[in-house]
Amino acid sequence: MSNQGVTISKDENKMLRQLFFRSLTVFAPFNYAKQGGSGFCYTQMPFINKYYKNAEDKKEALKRHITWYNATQNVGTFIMGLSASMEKENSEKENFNVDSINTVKASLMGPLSGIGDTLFWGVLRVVAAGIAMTFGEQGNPLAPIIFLLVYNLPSLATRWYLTKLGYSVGAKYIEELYTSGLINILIKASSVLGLIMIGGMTASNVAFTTKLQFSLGGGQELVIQDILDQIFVGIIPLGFTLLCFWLLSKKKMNFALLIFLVVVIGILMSLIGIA
Amino acid sequence: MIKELRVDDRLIHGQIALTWPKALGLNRIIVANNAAAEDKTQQMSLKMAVPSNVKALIRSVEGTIAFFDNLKAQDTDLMVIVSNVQDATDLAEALGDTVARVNLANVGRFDGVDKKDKIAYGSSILLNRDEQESLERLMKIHGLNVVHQIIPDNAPKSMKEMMKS
Amino acid sequence: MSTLTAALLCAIAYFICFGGNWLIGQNMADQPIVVGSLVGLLLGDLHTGLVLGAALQALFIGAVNVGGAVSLNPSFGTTLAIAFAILSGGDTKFALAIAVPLGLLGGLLEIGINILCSAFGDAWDKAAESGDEKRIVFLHYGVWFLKYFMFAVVIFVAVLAGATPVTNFVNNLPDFITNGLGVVAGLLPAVGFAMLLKMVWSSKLAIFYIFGFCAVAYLKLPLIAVAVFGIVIAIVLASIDQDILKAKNVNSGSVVPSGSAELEEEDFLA
Repeated sequence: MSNQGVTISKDENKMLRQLFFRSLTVFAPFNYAKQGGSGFCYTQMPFINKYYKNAEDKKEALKRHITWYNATQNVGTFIMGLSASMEKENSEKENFNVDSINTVKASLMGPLSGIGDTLFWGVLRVVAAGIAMTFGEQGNPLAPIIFLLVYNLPSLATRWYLTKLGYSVGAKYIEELYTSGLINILIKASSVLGLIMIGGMTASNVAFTTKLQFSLGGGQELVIQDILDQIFVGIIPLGFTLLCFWLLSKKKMNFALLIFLVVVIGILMSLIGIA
Repeated sequence: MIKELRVDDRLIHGQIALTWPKALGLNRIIVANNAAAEDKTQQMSLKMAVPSNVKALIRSVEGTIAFFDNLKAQDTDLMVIVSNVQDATDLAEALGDTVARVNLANVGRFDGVDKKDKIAYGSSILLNRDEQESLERLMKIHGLNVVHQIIPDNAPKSMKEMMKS
Repeated sequence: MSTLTAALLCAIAYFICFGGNWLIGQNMADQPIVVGSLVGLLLGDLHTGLVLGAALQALFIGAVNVGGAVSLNPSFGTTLAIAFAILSGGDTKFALAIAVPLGLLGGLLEIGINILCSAFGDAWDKAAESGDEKRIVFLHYGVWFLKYFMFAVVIFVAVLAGATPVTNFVNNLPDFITNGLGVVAGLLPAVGFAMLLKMVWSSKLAIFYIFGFCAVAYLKLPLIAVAVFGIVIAIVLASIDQDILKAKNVNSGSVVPSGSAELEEEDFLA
């Protein structure tokens, strides 16, 4: 069983568009029982109604897809498209293994979310935020608009592209993707972009200036901040961020606890006169 | 040695592929499932679900039993996943001591049979009549440790105890 | 502006941003830079909304709710922090410090509401079993509305009840605390960025973090330029990697052992 590069008919295109728009609502009623389940089922309905003539078959299909579902939604449409094409095949072939639909869904949710989370949450959102923040800091009202555009244009394009890909190329594509190592290249490239942006944002947004200075006699002042700047501009913000990273990842410190500590330390340093 | 023969109606999915191999200290998984063995799409997506340091093999139940004729296979630590109790029992009966323990994690949640017609152990083990019979055959295997443990963070529960209550 | 009007406007802004984000493809309308701007606009102080929104964006950027697990609700924290800042006369440093605890409270609220809405799980199952598509869809949109309406109500009450006490509290803070909060405001984004680093860090690529940092610290490049350079570098690297991959494939023959089950098993046990 596999879809060999099917050409998509006008009807199918229309249903795929419906799938696309419905997929935007996939997590709207998010709850622990179903998460994206009702949304996933919603996206499959046009196909279920088109390909299954008999009410029993429709019910079975609905039941299949009302189950718990969670995948990063910018890329989850690949699974939705694939599932729709598998449902179509199931309706056409006698001996189609219907359990494979949910098995494939279940096993793809994990890896697709891993890639999707890194690309969209980890990188695209950060790039969009970084650019928008520079506008926002200056009080430029374009900031939120730029943010929304930079994020959503690639996001929507990916969503649509993967919908069609999942539907038309489906099984063959999984095989190619798996054997080609392209996924790793994509993840590495986006991690590089992410790191560069986060580095830049660290320099723009993490600020610390120490007020410490010592008088050396004869009117001379030893201004600690100047010395620090001569060693490396922004050495404290950089070091502090890396320290937080170490605490969170290696020492597994709780995020909220770290925030609390930073608040306390900040106030203490002000009290003592360091900052 | 099959350190864990896991019964999970979703085969490989989500956290299972990531947390169990680490917890068991192994990096090889065999999916013993007749349907998956015939289905290239399932095979590819199952393989995508395992992390890059874990190897996965997908075989039919018979094929899995045959695989263990190889002495090297018997000596390697690995995890076998099946989707129902009958497959687990067939494997355990055929492979004897090679199986260290059986873990009934998630069974029978999606096979279309009404919940009311099933016997339930805990919230994720739902057995229809055939499965219940297979379970009884499984429990009769001498010296076999059968537990219920969904994720490594949970404490394993003895199936014998669960069946008593 | 009366507190009542402010509370109502905040509730509406929250519904639009948070509810809208989840209704329309997680378009990020619930990120601080957007929420802050809308709250600022509605409360009559767009500038503060923008500036604080940008600052809170840096702070909350690490709050990634992955795989359904909620820790913080940035839009909740941002809405309340900015609302209180504007209503109390514009102490922005304080807003940064309270945004995170408020975000945590918001996170707890979100978990609670998610649990409540899980009660509809059975209703969906029943609808599927009887093939009632209309009901599935009705519940799908209905539960969405219910969820975000509940959140909006909480915001309304929080702003209504909190505006005056918070203002009084802030105005009576001693200097060293106010100054201290300024220091805190500078340091807190580091925590957010550290969370982000967890997602993309690898020791091999760590050098790019330093590169990005220096691009701003020494070259004083604006972030948009950093983004462009970053994209160029990423594409170049990807292209090199692809060539390496092609060369590897040519050398080792086919990547997947074709056909032979024995070969596959040998490889499995190796």
